Amino acid sequence: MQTKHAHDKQPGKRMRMLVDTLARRVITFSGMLAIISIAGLLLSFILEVWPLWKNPRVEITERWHPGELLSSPDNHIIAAVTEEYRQAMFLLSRKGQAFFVQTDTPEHTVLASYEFSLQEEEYLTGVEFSIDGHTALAMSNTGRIFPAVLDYNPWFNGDQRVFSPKLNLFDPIQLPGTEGALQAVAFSGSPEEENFVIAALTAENSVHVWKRTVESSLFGDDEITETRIVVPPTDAVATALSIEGPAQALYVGARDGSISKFSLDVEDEAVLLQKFQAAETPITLLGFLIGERSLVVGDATGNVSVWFEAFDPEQAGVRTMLRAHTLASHNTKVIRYSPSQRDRTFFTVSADGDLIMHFSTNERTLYRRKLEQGSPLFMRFTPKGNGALLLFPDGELVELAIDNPHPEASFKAYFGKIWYEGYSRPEYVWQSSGGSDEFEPKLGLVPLIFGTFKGTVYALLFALPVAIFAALYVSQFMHPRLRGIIKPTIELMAALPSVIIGFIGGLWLAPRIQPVIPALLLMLVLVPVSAVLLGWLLRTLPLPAFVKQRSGGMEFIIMMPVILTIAWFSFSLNDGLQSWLFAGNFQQWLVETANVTYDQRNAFVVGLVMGFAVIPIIFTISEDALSNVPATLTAGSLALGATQWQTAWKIVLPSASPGIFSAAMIGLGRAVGETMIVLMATGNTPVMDWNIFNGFRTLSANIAVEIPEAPEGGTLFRTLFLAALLLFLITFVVNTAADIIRTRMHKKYQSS
Amino acid sequence: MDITIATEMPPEQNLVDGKDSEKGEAIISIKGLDFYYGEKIALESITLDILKNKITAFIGPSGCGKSTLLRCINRLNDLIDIARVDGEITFEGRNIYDPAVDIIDLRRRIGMVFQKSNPFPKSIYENVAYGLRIAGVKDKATLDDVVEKSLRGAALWDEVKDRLNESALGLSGGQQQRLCIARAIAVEPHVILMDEPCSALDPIATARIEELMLELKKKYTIIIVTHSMQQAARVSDYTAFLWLGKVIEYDVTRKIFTTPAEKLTEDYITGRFG
Repeated sequence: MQTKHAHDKQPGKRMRMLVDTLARRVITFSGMLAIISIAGLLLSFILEVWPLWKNPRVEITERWHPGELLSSPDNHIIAAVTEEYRQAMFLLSRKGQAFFVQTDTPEHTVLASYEFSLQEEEYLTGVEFSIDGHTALAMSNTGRIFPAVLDYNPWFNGDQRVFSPKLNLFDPIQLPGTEGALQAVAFSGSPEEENFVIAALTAENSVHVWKRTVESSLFGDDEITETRIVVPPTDAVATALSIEGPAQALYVGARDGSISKFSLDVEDEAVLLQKFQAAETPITLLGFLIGERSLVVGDATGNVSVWFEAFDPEQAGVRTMLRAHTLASHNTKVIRYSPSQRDRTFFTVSADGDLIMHFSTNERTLYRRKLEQGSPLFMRFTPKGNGALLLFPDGELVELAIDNPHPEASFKAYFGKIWYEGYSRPEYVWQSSGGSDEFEPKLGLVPLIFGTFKGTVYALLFALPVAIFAALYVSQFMHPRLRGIIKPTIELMAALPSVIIGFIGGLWLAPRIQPVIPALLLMLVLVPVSAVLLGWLLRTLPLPAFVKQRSGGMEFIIMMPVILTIAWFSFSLNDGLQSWLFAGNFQQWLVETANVTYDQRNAFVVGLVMGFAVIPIIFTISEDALSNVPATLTAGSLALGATQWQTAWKIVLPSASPGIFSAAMIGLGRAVGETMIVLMATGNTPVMDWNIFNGFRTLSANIAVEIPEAPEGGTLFRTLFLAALLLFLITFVVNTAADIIRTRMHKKYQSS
Repeated sequence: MDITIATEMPPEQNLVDGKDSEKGEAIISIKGLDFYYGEKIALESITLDILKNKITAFIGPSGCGKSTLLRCINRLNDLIDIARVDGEITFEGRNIYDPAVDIIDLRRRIGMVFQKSNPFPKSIYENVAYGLRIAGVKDKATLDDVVEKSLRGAALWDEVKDRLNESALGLSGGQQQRLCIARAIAVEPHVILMDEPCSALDPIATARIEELMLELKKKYTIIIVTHSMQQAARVSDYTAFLWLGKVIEYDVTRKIFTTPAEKLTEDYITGRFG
């Protein structure tokens, strides 16, 4: 009987155990899944950000002797450049032979060959290329200069890229007074363009400039003027030169380490604009980076620096050359450089074959290597910046492959002050993209972090007092029946999509707030004052007892018309205030007295609308915390003769403080991560200014604005992931800190 | 434990209806008090006098209205939105339900100790000083003085004098309840209401509170609501037995416990219901 009974109960028990186990497994699984998905999210962010910190990879892909293509033994190759896809190469020999060769096939087929018209005993001593690599200027031992324009002329044969390259040879130019080999040439423009300027440095260290301009008249006749510009001699011995194309300026480096800057935008004689000391030893290298604003200066002791023109930080309104970046230095004199055509990466090489790949903006040394073959005769970045060609004295051409995807990235570039082109001093700037490759990306995250905190601070400045006082009133004073209506209504506010709040804030509220700022400021003062005054009046006025007794919890019904009246009063005073206090126009007054421009979408508007978005959550949690303060505490206080207000302020509020603190922190977390509202209502200007009437840009809005424009895998794309990671980290730190503090407070205020 | 029982028994007298009270001075007179929770009547025509410097106990089964009656005396029931009071309670010659009465002042004169000790989440010192601080006393010397006097009065001084600035929540249950008594006497009330002050305490802590009550009665009038008939018998001078919102019997404690006039009282005391 006993056994049978137990046996009867078995199935039920087993079922219960099965359900229990199943439930436990499902719950555990779901919990783990949640943790794993967050960890996975974090991991994917880290994986996306990781490549930013990888060092570039440089490796030798090919070594060959292009001299084998030449017939005579005393001839050798003096220059080699390649086209974008590195399928075709242009080679130039000492004896003026020029070839285009196919390089994606092992046999290096010659596609086309040309001959420079050299005279007897004349040979080429060197060649200069423009940064884009299309214009070449060859110098001969007799001082003649041979301009040439390269055209690889690619076309598609089916899906195969083929080349019909062409070399456009122009008449050689002999600058007056230069009868021997030249030390260096610099040029801007090209023989095919309207402006073509050549500067040459002779063996006797004199500088000569030749300029050709083409002016088209209305009748289609081109008027060509060729002028010789005299460079006034300075007391320094010229050793290097470079021309800044857009500004028509000539830079002449000298043996004493000075650089003289001349304007070439003249008829006959160059005007000395500025002379500045750039080094203590002779200048051995001058050259520009992409965009022709940053001047690379190398000296005889191996120092490498980057200069550009900006407003003098010491003299207002004066533009001057500033030494913005000091880069890794060589041990001996810098002899050659090659800039990338993609970004501000460039190579410098010293006389002892020390090769350095620099990045100008953040002063990173991307790569450094001692070349066994010594210093190359000729060195050039490939057009895509993904390789380099080094031509050595023994005739060997070394082809490098460079994997340098994120030179702009560095801890300093993101979180430090960086000296950007055209700036007078290092600054925190976010300006990720411009119109072209010549633009210097400014990836400082500091303005965005600043903006995130600015938005949060202003939103909480508005939301915290409103939400907490509302919660205090609703929980401690309001009539329970009204409380039953008010609380869910405020909670419902949280359901408003932030895009709608942002839309209302940015497009509707912002333009309406602009003309009534004085009235709003007046209201800010009058409303709290009148509320306090009304409370005092209600208490002291000899009102009938039943009004006093029955008004308990209904005070705000009396308050509403008063506040509305004050609002009306403030708005009707707006114009009066405007003319009385703010000289007729608040915005103009702001500019004149405080030098603050009023942005229509500003921190004030965001404070209001984002405050509106976080009020419900802060209110609800605070109200719960306040309502949960044990009634025995309130009763204890009241029984001691405390008023309701004293009880609320001295007993209820401190006891509920851990909960209110959590509410504030959750509100803070919401405000930090808020995207749509700040996106639509701030103007998204990444400026660092606490001013309430200026806009800002937050990390989250920045991600939303820029991710559609960021090419996948690019520096900007990964930087945006870094911003996301940072946002994640901020939220994580804020929440963790909040929880620790809350637990401590809870212990302190815990009832027995 | 040897419990001191009130030795000086007052002469028998009819306390109900306020008659024959010339032997003691009535500090509180309740006359025809009705109390409603909404439509429901909780107290019905309560009439009794509370004598000065005596301990009066309200006993009765749960829900009989003894706590409600106690809370009527300091108008703590005002907080209940649906509550309504008819009749009058005279305290020191004035009807406390007169609209002109200042509730704050009333509560300062009629202190209260609750069933569950409810120290504020503040330091021991601040708990005792609270009543004075909210009354606007700022002088440190006065506060120090009152805090010490009150803690001594509540027989707690020796135990806490070295940790006045520590949180009151760290005290034991009995200490907390004595702290609440100290807090109540700090504002020098005339009457102390005690709502089952020992129901959450162990016997030793209870004994200490009871001793304290007998000590306090020299200065204050005490009204105590209790579930424990032994406690009522031990400490009180007068006992009122309430049942279903009415005072069934109110008399000298010894008489209630030995020769009750009503059958109902006897049944309750002898444990036939409760």
